[in-house]
Amino acid sequence: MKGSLDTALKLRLKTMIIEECEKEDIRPAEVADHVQLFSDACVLELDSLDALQISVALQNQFGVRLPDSKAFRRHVTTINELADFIQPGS
Amino acid sequence: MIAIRAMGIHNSIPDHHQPDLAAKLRALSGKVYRRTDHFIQLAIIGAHMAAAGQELSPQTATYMTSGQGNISVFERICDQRHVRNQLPRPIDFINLLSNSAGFYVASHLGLSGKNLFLSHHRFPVQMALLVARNDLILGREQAALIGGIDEWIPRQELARKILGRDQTTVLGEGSNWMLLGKLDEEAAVTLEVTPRILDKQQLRQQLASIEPGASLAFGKRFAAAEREEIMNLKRGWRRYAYEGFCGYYETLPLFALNRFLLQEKGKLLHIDVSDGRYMIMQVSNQG
Repeated sequence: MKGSLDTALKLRLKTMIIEECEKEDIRPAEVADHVQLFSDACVLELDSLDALQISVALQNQFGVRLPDSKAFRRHVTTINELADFIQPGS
Repeated sequence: MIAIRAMGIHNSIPDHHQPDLAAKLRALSGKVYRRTDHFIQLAIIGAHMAAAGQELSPQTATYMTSGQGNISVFERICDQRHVRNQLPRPIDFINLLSNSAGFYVASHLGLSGKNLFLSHHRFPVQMALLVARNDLILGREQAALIGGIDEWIPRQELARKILGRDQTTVLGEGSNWMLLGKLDEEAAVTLEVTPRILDKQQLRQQLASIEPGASLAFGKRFAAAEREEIMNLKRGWRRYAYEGFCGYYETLPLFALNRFLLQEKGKLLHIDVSDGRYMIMQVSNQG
């Protein structure tokens, strides 16, 4: 199954981002699947240090290595696209 | 001699878990501090209490010291790297740098002056106070905020090993702060640190000039027998026993001084020991 269709995976990703970035006042359900995570439209209001936290957490929790900022920007865009990157599906 | 303008005490003896300080910090300051850990939260809380109600100049210098530093994050990073073979969280890595807590304290209080984290194997509080005292007396600083911070960690056996304490020692945590200034005629509360590490004979010589009526407090590393031996040197000294109100941590001398100043009047001599070497501090409260 493609990651963007896997509700459990997307919930896990949202929970991880909220915990790693210490945004516990926001509930996972408030983070829209299709909204750019690093944009003003996203409720999380993430910054560059959050990006670093997320990058390391993805490696530790999912075994996904994003070697540079280019790779990070390509794959960590929306929850849907991040989920597809982690779980491309068939 | 320098003047003490204000004090702040945060002291506790946790049991099983590190206390959740984020909620206390939010209640005290009305702010949410993201990306802070327990050690940094301790630092901000103590500094906030000392600065409350004071008009701090932005140029106030900050001196922080600690016996163990940010030990819980250090332990977590070691575990991640060497046991789990994982990368440390970037924020842990950043916070472990020597003076991240100093950054947060300065940011919280709106300070932009000198900001130092000082370390000493035997006498961290005394040495930090000496540096602050010298900067004030030499006119390099007009005001100094000095804090001693030590945190309690759940792995008590590790903490006791690092601290060189036996397994029965009850450990605590604290963030104790003083706001210091130059001595002037209005100063009712004063501090002096003897700027030397003394041997036993030199300690006795120093104590000979201490008048009856003074209170004496001893560092927690003192053996009971040696404490009694010193108390018996002169009649009329009063022992200030603060030990029942705190667990052991390296920056306890600041707790002892602050507690005395907040609760008592008169003169207190604090004597600390490490490996047969001694340091003396003296505070006086005439207010």
